[in-house]
Amino acid sequence: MPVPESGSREFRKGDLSLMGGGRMKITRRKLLGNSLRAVAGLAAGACAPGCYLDMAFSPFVTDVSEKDLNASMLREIMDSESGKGESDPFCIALFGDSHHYYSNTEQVIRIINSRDDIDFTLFLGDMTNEGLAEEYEIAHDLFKTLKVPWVSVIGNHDALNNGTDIYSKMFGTFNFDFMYRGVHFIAHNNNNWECGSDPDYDWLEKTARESTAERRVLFSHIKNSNQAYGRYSETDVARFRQIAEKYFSMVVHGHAHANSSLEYIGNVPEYEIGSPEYGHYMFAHFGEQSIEVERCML
Amino acid sequence: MHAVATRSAATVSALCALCVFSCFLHMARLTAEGRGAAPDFIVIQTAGYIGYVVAGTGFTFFDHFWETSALYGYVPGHAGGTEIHTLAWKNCLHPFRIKVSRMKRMSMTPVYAGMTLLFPLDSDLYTVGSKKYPENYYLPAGSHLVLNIGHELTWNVPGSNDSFSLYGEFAFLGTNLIVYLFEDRGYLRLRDIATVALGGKYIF
Repeated sequence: MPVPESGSREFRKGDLSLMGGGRMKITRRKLLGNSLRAVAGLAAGACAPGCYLDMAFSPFVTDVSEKDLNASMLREIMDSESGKGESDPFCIALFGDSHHYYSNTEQVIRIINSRDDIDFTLFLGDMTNEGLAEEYEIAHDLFKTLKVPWVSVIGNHDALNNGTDIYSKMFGTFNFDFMYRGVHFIAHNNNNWECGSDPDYDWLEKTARESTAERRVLFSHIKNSNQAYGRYSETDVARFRQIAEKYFSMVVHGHAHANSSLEYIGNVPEYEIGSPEYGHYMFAHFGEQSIEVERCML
Repeated sequence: MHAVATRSAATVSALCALCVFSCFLHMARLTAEGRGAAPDFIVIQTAGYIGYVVAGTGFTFFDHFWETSALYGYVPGHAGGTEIHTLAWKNCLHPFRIKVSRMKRMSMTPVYAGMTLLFPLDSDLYTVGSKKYPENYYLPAGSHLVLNIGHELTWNVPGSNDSFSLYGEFAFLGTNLIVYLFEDRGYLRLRDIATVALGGKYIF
């Protein structure tokens, strides 16, 4: 027997009826109150500042909460460099292709966070499946739990739909480079189909040629010699190999989910790192003259 | 993932076929009643992955048990970062409606459920048929499925058979639901993927 609320009347049997003819007992005021509260609650939940219920206008929106992350991360990396010698050894973490494998990626991040010898993390692209803003946001919420700065190169999935616009807003330019303790790190966008243009090998060669560093590391999402589906022409592959062999000490890619591999372009090691989906991640230790790689599995 | 996509595609296809068949039946009934193909209601909405401003029209079947509507949604640049035009086909089931007999003008649907198929009006957003990628290189993307669960209040317009409804609903993007239910169960919370949509209907 429902207790009538103050100021309301309890309905007699039949006061409220289901469309199908069924009957239920409930006060009118309670019913209307709950009903209005449900609609008003949804509206308030959507409009209240800081609320966690979003009003999503489209899967394809390009507005994101974070802007120019690579630039701010690079500032953090530069700040952390001060007071350290160029020849001091350092270590970086590398992984890519987190896609929707959030739990495994969380484990990789936990491992990186548990070590105190990591200076920064290079993410090798594909933090999304369809390049949607919501996917970028979920991935960012996960990646921001990294205790060390992280920079990201764009992956082919990140560039789908309106993904290139979102990446530009959230991370910045597709091709970028930075120096850290005498090593020149160069990020190269080679998602030719998704970005609608061939990889900018002129930029890559010019950046490497003008570099004053003794050691250069190239990271891009797709292995440039990947001939699957004829993504890159023979000419492009030959050009890439020529640049890599002439200017770089190490080349790193993601994109290969199930396998991590090591091949050589001349004497230059070219690593492909699998996805956290299959437990893959990697650490690279930079000594005074050497680069030692620790390929790991969850 | 392929299995999930195939099952989803088969389910959606079956529902589409059922909807089309029912629409034909409904048109036949309206024609027999001399109403031609006049729609049963017009609707405006905001959010629900369809648009910042959404407008459309639709039909009801089986005493408002099933509503189907065609909607157009628009997102201006200031609201979404880029202009987006979307067509949507929304189908909702209202399992029961409660009448308040002392206020005969008013009724409510405590909960309804439905799903919406989104078709963005931008060929660059589709992977199927795109000349940029080899066939089958990517899983089909572009169209999206949205699950709706909502609550509706209806007022009868005095002196007529028309009525006016206000509704609020949760909208879940299918891609997020697949992650939530299948791909990485336990990582995302339901509130991480719940979004809110609000709308109103005028029912003839």
